[in-house]
Amino acid sequence: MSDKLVEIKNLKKHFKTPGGTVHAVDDISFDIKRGETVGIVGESGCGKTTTGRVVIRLVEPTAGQVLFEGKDIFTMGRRDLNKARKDMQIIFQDPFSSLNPRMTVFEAIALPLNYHKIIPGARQVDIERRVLELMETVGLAERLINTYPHELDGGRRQRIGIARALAVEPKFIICDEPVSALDVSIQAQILNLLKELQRAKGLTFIFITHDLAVVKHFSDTIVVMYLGLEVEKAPADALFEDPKHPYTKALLSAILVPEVGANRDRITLRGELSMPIDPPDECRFAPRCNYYDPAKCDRGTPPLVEVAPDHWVACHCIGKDRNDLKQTV
Amino acid sequence: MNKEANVTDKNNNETVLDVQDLVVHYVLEDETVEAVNGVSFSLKKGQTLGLVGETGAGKTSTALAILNLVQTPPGVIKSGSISVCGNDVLSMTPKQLEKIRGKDVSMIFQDPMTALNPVMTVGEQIAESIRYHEGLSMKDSIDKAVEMLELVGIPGIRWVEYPHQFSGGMKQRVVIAIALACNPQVLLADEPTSALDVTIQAQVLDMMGDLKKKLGTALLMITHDLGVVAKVCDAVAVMYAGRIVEYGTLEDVFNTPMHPYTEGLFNSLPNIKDKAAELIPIPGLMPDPTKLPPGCAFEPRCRYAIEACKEPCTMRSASDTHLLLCTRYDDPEFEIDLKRGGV
Amino acid sequence: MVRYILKRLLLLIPVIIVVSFIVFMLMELTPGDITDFFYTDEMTEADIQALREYFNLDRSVFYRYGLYMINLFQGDLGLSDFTRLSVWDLFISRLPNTLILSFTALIFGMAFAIPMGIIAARKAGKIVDNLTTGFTLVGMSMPVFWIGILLLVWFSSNLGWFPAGHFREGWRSIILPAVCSSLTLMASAARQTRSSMLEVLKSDYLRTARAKGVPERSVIRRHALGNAWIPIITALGTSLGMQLAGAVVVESVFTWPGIGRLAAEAVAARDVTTTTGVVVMTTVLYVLIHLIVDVLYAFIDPRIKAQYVSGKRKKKYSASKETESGSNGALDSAEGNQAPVVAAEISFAPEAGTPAQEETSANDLPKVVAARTETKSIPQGTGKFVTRPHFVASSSLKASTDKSDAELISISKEYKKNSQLKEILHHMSKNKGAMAGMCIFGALILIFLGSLFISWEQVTQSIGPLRTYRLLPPSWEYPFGTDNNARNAFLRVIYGARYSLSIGFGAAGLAALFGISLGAFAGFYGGAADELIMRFSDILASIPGILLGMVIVTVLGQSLPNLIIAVGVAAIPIYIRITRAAILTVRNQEFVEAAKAVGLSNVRIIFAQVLPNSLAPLIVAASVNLGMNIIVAASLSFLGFGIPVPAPEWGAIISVNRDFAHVATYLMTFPGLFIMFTVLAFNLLGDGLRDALDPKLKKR
Repeated sequence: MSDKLVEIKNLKKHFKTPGGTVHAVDDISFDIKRGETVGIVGESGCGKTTTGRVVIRLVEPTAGQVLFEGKDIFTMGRRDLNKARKDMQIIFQDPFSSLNPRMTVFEAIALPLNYHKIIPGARQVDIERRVLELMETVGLAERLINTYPHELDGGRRQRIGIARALAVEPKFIICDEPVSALDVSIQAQILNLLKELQRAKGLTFIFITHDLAVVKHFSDTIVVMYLGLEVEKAPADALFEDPKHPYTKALLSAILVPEVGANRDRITLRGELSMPIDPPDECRFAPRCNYYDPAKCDRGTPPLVEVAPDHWVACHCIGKDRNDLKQTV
Repeated sequence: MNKEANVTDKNNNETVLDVQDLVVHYVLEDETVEAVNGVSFSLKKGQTLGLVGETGAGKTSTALAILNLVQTPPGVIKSGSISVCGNDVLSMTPKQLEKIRGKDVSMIFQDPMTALNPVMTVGEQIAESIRYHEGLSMKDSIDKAVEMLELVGIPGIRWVEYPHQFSGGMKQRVVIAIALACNPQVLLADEPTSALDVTIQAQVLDMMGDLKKKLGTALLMITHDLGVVAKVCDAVAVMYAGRIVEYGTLEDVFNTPMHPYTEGLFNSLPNIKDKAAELIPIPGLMPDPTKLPPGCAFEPRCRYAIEACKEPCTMRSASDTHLLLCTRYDDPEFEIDLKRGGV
Repeated sequence: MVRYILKRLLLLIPVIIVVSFIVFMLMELTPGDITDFFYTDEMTEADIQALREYFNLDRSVFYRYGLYMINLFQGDLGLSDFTRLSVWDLFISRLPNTLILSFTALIFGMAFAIPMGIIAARKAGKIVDNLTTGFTLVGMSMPVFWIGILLLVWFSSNLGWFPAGHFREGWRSIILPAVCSSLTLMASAARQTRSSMLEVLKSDYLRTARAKGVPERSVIRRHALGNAWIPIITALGTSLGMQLAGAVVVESVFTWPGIGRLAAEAVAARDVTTTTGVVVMTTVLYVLIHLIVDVLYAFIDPRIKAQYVSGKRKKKYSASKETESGSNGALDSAEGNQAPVVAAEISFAPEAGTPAQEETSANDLPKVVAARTETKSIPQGTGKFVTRPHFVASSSLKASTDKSDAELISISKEYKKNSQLKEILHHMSKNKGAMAGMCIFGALILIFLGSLFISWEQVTQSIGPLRTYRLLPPSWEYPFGTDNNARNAFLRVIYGARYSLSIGFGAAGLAALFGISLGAFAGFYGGAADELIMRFSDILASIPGILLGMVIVTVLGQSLPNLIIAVGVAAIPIYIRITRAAILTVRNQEFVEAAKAVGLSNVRIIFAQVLPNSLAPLIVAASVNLGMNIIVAASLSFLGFGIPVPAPEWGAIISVNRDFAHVATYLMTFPGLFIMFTVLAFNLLGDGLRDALDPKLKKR
């Protein structure tokens, strides 16, 4: 059994709009090993959320493959896909809209249990037992079993979402900004919970976020996305120690450290974020790049190249043993 | 109690904002939300004070009270005094308030997407403030508005454009331009960059810092982000359940924090430097603002709590500049246990 | 911009084709034909044959239609079958009269409605507001023809202040019809103004304006009103459309020579050419008005203008209006539709601050890409105030499998869930208006039950010799008096409850059945199906409802079931639109995606997840629609297109007793009051339900 649980190959997702075609996800490829966490970071419009949704086929791709345990989920038939769905789950960002307001905690968690017949020959009490177990696992008091989402706060709602995802005993979970909408102290609670779960159950995660401090805490490998493309991909430690791509550098330097005097030398980017609508074949980061040099950079979209072991960068100025970055701004 | 903390000031000793024992409640049908429960702080000219806390701590209500913009009903400023540039805000008539808002004290809010009037050009929105406060003609106001746009990093000719033609970050710049157009002494900023992307946040914070230096504005920076505080603030006030639990200079609070809640906040943050460091969350949740206990509001979640903490508490002075709302401070052996990875 | 206008004008062509097809075919289906009116005893077989050939009746219906269409596209509306006058001439000569009336009513109505709405919004919750709401609800519940006749009786016959319409006596003759016409318009426009003002008053940019020291009166005038204008303009357009539609009734009451009366006469005479011509032209007018409103819209709202000027064009159906925050967008749009004619949702209401939101019809794009491209989500906790906190046990991973079955059963017994129904009822009980509505509704049920005990004979037979018993005023014995045929008016009115309630619910049920299914399909699947269904819905909605009802009843014949069908069909577009909007909102929510991630099939998701959450705006719309159906049915009966006499349907009673209005006003007052209170009850309930189901109230 290969240790690669998920293989994403040349994934693309384009949306046609009256204003043009949005290249939300443009040729993303990476692998995820069993028990690993891959963090996807980026800002608005980078495509990370879309990537998450396409990888578990909530949204049909425009092109590419996603191999789950060696099988392409996009070519699976209905029955196989349903089986695969038990292995792949997703935790959403918004703890309010991700729960059906008309379903109690019990009903929300029981739904996947019943649908997939997780417990064979289940009686009502067996389902209840399982639901209570799950609630306890995620830290929800048992007296909340029949409450509605609107009666609970964000942290608890998010726990329901996690319990629901765990109900089917998945192997692989996409966490789409699971803590962004929560207060700092609750964030820590949920992050700890997720880490515990991973350790106890050997789960594999994709962790999507814009918060670099969180992603470092949580990921083994990090993929940095910008306007639909991967710009850098490396193990977490390597990325933080030696960020190569100008965007990664700016992103990292933009993190404000809660320490006196620590936030001095910061890289500020010019320009604004935009949407990748009908992008021409050129480096998409160039307009904002502090190292942009027409002589070096005007040669189409830079390919993702392995410049160090497991460290990939998409930049014309960076190569295997080469780093021509010169600040021009 | 007078809590005039002699925090290091930038320009001179002039106090531009002074809040004493502010109490703001929201009286609803069957219950009362005790949003702000006796908050005191002051701002000196050119100083930046960070008001830190999580959702529900009462930060926004405090700021709205300074402008006397608390929604009444159901909000009620029950007691306290607020003085802006020496003027008592709470006893002003609406006309007087209109005069100081935007001129002596301005406020910017969190969500730039909805803060601007969609059917007025951005130039007009900036000029409106100038016209009302400085009595300039339309044309002159627009000229000044154009200058302000340039100041915040937007090309002046864009004054004819409408808010929807700007991105989120640029909208927030416009909001800042409006707030600073009449050069107020105090700027209240309620989470101004929380809704922005990281790199845009960096841009906007830098710009705010430059402007502050140029114009000499005192800034009350409301935020939940300790990183932002570390970057822009000189002094810090940590709020919890409507009270300030710790107050001091940036160094006081960040290098030698003393309140268990502050400790909890720092320990909850993922440490960018030490990945393996465990996150130590604060157990439990914020207390229900309609049912606050008589004693320390943090007591149920505090790992250092003792019986005495259930009694009402008063501010202690840890130093000239460092104030603390914690009974346990009285115990000379008491110390919080900061597990942060260190510098 | 010009391209956009041209495109919309081009779209008129399919509309004309479809509408003319529908009307033409329906009229042709009517039993009998035009020759019936020319038939005399002296005609020989040959004469009859020649007559039939003259009208092309020897050829197939499609031949006649083809001929009609060929002429139509050459701009020739043909000759009236009946009078042999040019349909075009007929239409054009009458059109100005209707327009004068409509515009006068519009101006008069708006002049009152807008200030009323603004004041009510600013003083929301206070007495002024409650009074306004009360007034508007009553105003919307009164049938136009009833008010018209009462006005005639009071001001014309009794007081002699104004002439009784007839158009001939200068400006004074327009007053009564205009006032009558404007009342319902005033009521619904005031409500629309109030609710859009309320929305605007909640905006953040008002707070910004105050924070910079703008004087309060400027805040309201410049900032609030400046934005509230936009939805008010839409209301204006809708109102004008409603005026056109309601013209039939008003013109009949005041014998005003407009296109409404022309249409009614044509339908009654089975004049296929004229009917088709008038309906088509009215529809064209209707669509043009909406086009003008939309263009106006673009000039007022810079966000919309930008979209045309820069070349980006939005799709016709602004799903973004319909995906406004929560289902409130859909809830609010349920409100403004009073008349049987539903304003086609062709206008664009922009979403605050998201210009990049190119909302295509339901596909994957909206949620993921269009969501705030510039900002990340606001890291709010639970909103302003933290809800009741309970201590969360620290997260341990021990899963206890040792609970016995008995323990589990006791757990679920102990923590019973709060019934959502109880919550809703609780909210409603606090709403005085809703409680009043409930009481009236309760009374209605009793009346309905009572009506079952009254026999047909009792309401159709005279109580005694005419001379003694006719037109008796109300007394203990005959509480509502007796009518011209010495029938007991009280019994007749009570009996009439049977019709009204059955029509109300029957038509609503019919419309809901088709409308919800089509709307759900359109909303969920999107794409071509969505386009098709929305086009169909728009076209159906462009035909003035009363006209459509008249045609259907003419075709099917006068009876209660047919009346239900007529009213129901006209109401279908409402349900399609509301359902589709609600579904579009819900299906973008993440819990739908979560259900998909579990593996649930689309069908299951629609029925188990999406629809139950879309109920709120539907329920509100349905309750308003119930009242509307009753008014439409009464209007149709009044015009003679309802249940055949001597059935005591309330509208028919008013019609029959019209001639005696000045001597026996009471004969008309009571049925009218009954209509009013019935509709009022439904409107009150609808209002109460809307407040109770408001999702914002749920966040405690």
